[in-house]
Amino acid sequence: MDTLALRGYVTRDVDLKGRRVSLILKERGRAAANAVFEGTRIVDEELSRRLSAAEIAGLRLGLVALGEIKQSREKL
Amino acid sequence: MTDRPWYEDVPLPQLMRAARDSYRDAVQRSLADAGRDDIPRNGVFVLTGLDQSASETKFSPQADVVVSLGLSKQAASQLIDTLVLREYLERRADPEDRRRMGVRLTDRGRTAAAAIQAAVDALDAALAQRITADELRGLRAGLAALGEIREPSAN
Repeated sequence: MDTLALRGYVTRDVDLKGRRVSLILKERGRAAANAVFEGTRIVDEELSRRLSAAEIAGLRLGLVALGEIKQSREKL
Repeated sequence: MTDRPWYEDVPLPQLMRAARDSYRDAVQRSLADAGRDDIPRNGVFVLTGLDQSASETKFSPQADVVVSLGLSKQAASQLIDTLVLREYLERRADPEDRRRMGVRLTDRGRTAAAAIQAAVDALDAALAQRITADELRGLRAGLAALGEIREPSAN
């Protein structure tokens, strides 16, 4: 977060009463986020052209399962 | 209310990060248990690639060992240097062409490769218990497709 703030992507809003820190995207951060969304959208579209709906569902389920396995092992 | 699963709205890169970490963490734990916890990033792919493709005495061309990693020549050379320095690999010049270098696993490297493979096998087995064979095929097809999508821009 320090790096993102230092490089002008976000600003931090500190609520001293609630002891909470909120992050606010700056213009530079919004532009970066939009670029990330656009890159992801292009790859997702290409993936949809190459795979069936069942394969994409399997891809998502498999990735979720791997994430859950990681979480369950961390709890041990 | 719909029955739409929560993960349908999670961007694939986010799901991929958690999934990748599951293998990375399992491999790191297995290597630490085997006393082999000083392998650089990408080194695991070199070691397991050699373990599966070469016999104990055979040297593999250094260039072939790193080609699938998509590293620059300098980064690939540094990775092999580190693995040789840490005694996971043995390197020698090809007797038929002294300009080419060959590498093979040392005993230390074979132990590490076995620890990596054991961790991957255990995770694969855990995964097979959570999803169906068709879903697993979808996962593999999806990951392969993502790799193919990357290639045109990577080359």
